[in-house]
Amino acid sequence: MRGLEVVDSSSSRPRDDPDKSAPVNPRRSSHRCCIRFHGLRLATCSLDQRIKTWTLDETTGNWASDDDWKAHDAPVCRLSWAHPEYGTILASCSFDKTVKIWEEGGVEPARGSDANAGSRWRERATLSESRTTGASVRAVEFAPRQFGLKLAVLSSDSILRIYDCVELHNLATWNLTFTIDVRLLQPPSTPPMSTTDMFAAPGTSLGASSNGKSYGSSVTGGRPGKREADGGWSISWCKDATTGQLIAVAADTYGLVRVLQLSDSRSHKTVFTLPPNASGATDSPAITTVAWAPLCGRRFHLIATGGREGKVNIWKISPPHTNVTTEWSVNLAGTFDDHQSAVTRVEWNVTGTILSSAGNDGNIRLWRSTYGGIWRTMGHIHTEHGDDEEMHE
Amino acid sequence: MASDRIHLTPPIIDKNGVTKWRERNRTVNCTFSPRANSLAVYQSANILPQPIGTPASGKQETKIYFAQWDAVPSTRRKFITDTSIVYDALRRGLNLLRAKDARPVDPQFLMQTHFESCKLYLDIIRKTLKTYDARLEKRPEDEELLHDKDLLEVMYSCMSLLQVIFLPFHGFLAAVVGRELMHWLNENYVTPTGEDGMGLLELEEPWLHPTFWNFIKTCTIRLIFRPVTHFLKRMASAHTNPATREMADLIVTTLDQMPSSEDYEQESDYFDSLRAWKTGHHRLTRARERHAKSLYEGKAEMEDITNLITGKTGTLVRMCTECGMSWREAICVFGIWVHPRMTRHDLPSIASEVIEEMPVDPTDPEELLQAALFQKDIVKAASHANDVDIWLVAHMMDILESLSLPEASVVSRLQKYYIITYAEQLMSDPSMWRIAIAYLSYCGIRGMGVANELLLRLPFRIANIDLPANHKYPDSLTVFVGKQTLPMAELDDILETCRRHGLKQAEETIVRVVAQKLSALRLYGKAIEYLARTLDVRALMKVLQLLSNEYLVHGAHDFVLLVDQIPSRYLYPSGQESPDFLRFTDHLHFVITYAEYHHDLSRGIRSPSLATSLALLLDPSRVDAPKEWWGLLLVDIGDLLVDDTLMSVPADDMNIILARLEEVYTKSRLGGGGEYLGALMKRYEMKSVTEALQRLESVRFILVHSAARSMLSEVGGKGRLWGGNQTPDAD
Repeated sequence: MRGLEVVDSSSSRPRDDPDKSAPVNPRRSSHRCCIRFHGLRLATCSLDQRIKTWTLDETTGNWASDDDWKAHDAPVCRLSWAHPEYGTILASCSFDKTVKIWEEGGVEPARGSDANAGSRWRERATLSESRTTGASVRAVEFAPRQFGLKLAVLSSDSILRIYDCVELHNLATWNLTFTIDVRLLQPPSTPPMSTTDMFAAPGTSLGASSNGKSYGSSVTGGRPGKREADGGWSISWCKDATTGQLIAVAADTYGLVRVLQLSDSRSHKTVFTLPPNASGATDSPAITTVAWAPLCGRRFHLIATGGREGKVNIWKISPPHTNVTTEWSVNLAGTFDDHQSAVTRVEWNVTGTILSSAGNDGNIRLWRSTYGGIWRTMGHIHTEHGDDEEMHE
Repeated sequence: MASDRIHLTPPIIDKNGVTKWRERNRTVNCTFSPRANSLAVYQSANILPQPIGTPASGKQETKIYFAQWDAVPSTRRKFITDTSIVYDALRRGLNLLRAKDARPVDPQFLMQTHFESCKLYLDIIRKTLKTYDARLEKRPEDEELLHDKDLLEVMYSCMSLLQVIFLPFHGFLAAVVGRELMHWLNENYVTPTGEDGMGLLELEEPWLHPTFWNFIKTCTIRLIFRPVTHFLKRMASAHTNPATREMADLIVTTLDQMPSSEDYEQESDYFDSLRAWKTGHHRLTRARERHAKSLYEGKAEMEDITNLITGKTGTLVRMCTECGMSWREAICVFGIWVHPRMTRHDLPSIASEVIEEMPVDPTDPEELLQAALFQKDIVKAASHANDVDIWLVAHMMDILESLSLPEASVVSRLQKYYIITYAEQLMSDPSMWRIAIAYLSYCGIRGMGVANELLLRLPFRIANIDLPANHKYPDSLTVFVGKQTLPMAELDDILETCRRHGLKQAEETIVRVVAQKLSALRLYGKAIEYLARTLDVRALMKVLQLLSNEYLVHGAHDFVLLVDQIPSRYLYPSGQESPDFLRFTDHLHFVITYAEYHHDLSRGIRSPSLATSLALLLDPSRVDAPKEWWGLLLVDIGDLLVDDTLMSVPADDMNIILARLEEVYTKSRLGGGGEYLGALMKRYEMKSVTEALQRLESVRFILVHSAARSMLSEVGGKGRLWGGNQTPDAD
């Protein structure tokens, strides 16, 4: 009764396309995929600067593309759907150093944008503060709905910005409420690296984009910049409102995750950090991905991290008991090095009971806790060609 | 078929091509979907600078694969629904019994009640197996069905063992258990088969057949005495050897006289009979000793049977092994032959003793689970039951939790953990959401937390909504209106479920999403109706803001029609609302009054009450319009008065209007323009505050003019604030 099975695959190519080995242009491939709140819509972004949205037809189980538009002037890095309470809103961030807010339907903006003419999606705002420091934007995530229509943005210079939408019926009005240099929160053990080699977009030739603008000058001869190669940028909000506005941030080449508490008075503090391993050494490779599990009635929080060294860590975090201690308790609940290469993504399911991890080994792993709180593999998706008898349609 | 390890087809990476694939700067990624326990898997570019110069042409895209975990077999739907009803009834009953003011429950009564629940589960499994058999007759190669049938058979045997061990129908745990275990064994593991006996029946001298003694011994061990006595009687009468005849005859007599615990009302009577029966063994044992040195047909086997009757443990274990029986049979028959007084309390030690002699197959989850049940090791049993099927472990732990065992706290945690896991698995078929929520609702705070999240993620359908003509759904898959495709959850059902289980937060959030959707469809009246159920003032105010915005963007005609959709009952609070809710009714009053004003205006009505109604909106002691609207209201009043020079307003109202005008003008000039002039500027698309202030200047002139007219009218002795042709010419 339990286990994994592939139920469908969607593509713009016909299903029976015999040319399975056709080279896939990386500039055209889906770079990120983001599924909406109810699971019936999907947005993909790609290195060709476009965003595409899909809807699921549950009668057939097929996803059909319903919109596709050029969203940025450089590869699109991440997407995030806002809670449906605020409408059909999508945020995208890009190597063009901007974050854009998109809304489906609604009133046509006064200045029509040619980029998405004919699309139902309207560009409502462009948040371009990262341009002032010349950094590409690497992560974007809407806050849980309880905190209002709020957006966290992390750029490659490790600046975390929090934007608040001032008027919910007017998505053009965003206030920058926090600008936090994550590197300054806690002095790193390794000296800061030069920022000149870190902002280029993948797939861009010396940072040149389709509109001729420059995105930085990091890439010389196609060799990755050191910080690009060694760093990681990821954010994840705490989904529970009872402990205040908390956000986990992994930035740059440091193997640390910092958890920040943001207050309404626009002040912030680091409430705890997640060391790269149980020993607490901080000179570890960068954390590439962080995911905060939904609480769903649990008495403790779970945060998963994935790093360049190939480890997936699961942290069990207990909030302070006001009458006993004011410190958060942080314990490593599980550590796995099954990927044996950099972990690109960790993510929790909606109830925080299953963790997925994806790695450069080309495999997806699913993890679930046993009754005794021990995390174990519950599934393994191989993307490599397997023996015929093992393969599943 | 589901597996914990799958390969994608077509594969993303060629065979042994990981290194090359990685060098091309690729990686894989996955994203969970909240729908149907699924996740999307796809290839993506690694965030690293790429080789230069890859052309950006072509329309190829990578595939996105959708995998599902914990899928519920489609064949199980009815089974799941039926068993959920039993679960719900059991839990409801238990909650009543455990209510704070309830008297302590008699454990015997509790056990008998749960015995019935367990029996219902077993009946459902049995019925399901019958339907499977019927289906398999038509589709004998249906692998999913065959696999599930095997699982259900295991579930039946294990659940019925749990019933025997933990839920005696008579409610006495200290009662002898041998016969009940024997019934369980014979019901679930039938051996030997009827065909074996039929084959022997046809033979003239069946004892010469190589399987004869194996058959006799197996039947004896398992208390299937009819064929045993039949064949041994034939032997006693037809065999040539007198020793064989005597031994066979004595065995038949002894077995015939063997007492059964089920035949006695009182255990003491059974024990008396047992003692008497054992005393009668001396004839059989003496005969065995007498013929010990002679050779006769069936000597070894009949000696074994004699030893079995006299309760020799070693013989029992050896006979079970020789007859191809496992530790399972050995434990069950132990309480018949070796330890007839065996109770459920003795089971763990006896099971351990037997298992030491006859090990359990460590690769067979069914055996492992049953061994744990015999040993009453609940934690182990849960783990092995989980390996068999999540339904089994969830319901087993649920029954055990209800029994208030000594390990109550551990069992309670196990029950919650596995019921929650089961409920989550049910969500792989989204149409089972009601069942999943019902299960979760009995799992404390954690269960309610999960239920809350699952309900929030349910796409819903709103019934009975009239859409504006030619409307295009902005997000057609999140809210279905009218047209039904799949059995998607009805919004009202979801909200009712939230209310029933006290999931206020989920209800409030869902209603907010609904209100957003309805507002996007310009169905503000419906949005307000839903939000008023949860008294969500913040969201109600947001809807009113959007509705007011309709006037600013689309003008009076649309605005009036949209406001007309709002049920007027919300204008008349019952008096039980919170002060916060009255904020909403006040604001609604403003919106409706303003819409009525425009409605009258559109019908060509020109009366002093129009200006009065606008003045009313500017009076904080009556209907306080939002400050942002004051500028616009003042302009409206100005327009009204300038259009009709005959119109004037009462002096009190005029004082209010003038006071507001001064406030707006002064504060706007001091930088508060946005606060007072927002609606005005938006309505007339004014570019600056200065432009709006210029407009207010002209309003001021009109107002002063009108006030002067009114004063003149009063001086004229008419005592009227409004008079048609009596009003003197202002000039």
